Amino acid sequence: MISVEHKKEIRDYLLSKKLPLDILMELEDHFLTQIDTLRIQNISFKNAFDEVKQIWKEDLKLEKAYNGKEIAVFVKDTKDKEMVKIFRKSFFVFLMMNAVVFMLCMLLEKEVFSEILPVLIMVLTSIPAIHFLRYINNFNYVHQFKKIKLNIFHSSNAIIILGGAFQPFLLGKYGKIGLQIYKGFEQNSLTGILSLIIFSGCVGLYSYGFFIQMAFMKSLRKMKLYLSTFNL
Amino acid sequence: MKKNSLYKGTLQNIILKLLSKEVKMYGYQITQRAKELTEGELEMTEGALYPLLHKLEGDGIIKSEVQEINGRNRKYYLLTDKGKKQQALQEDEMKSYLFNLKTIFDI
Repeated sequence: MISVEHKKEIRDYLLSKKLPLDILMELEDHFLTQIDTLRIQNISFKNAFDEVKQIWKEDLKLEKAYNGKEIAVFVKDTKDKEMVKIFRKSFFVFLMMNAVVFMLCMLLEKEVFSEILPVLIMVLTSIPAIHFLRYINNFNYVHQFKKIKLNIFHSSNAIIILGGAFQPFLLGKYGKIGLQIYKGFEQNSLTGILSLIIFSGCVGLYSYGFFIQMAFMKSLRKMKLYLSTFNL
Repeated sequence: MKKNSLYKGTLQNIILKLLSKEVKMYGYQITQRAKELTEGELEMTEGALYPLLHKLEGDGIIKSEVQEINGRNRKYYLLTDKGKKQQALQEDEMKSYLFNLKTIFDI
């Protein structure tokens, strides 16, 4: 049986590796089980812990992330895979948005298109906002954990704000941008095509933030039991 | 993998097969079961296992649940319905692949 002091030693070690809580939770159990197994063979806690640390040495080595902060190799690998997947989804949204606007341009008159585009922008903007408001208690709950990230998606909400910041710009400049997009397809003008790419790019960026927000919530729901008993 | 890089491409198949037999397993248990079944030949590195488990979960092939066991929070992994179908399909493909390999290496 591992003592409370030894458990704390293990947790402190894992915390020093800057692991987000969802991964820490899983690795803590893994470490404890691995150490327990070694101790059955009459190995002291210190030796067992050293052996387990050695097994994990390469995976828990800290390296610089893209933002300059330190991250364990193993966490970076997991995070990169997740982010690539989310990026692919939002790139698909980007492509779909291009196709939808293209179809609208082809099917609608200029005036009708002018009416529809701001509605489309507002609907797209409201989806993540509704999601955020629905789970606002959970998002507020996160503020209790300032020194540690809850999961790999924690602190990525800036992207949604960045994506969202473009929406008023698009709405404010709508008349011009909408017209440019429409003209782009009518006259094959480069400015029009660029306007469409900027519009779809903002939607893509916004959806990237939204997918991260959803992944964050999904992970948070699974951690509720753990968080209720977690003390730093 | 510690001992044989040939296992590397089959890690996903191995995990899904183990989950199909054991219903639900946690990370450490998966590494130990694989080691036990292969009499120590197959040693999964944890650094390969967990990112793959998270990827499979993200793809909806497996799902996880946290349970409190002896005062510890333990994360168990289970196959989803989609995962069960995929596992059956991959097992058939793997058996056919192994049969063909055997045929070639038996000459």
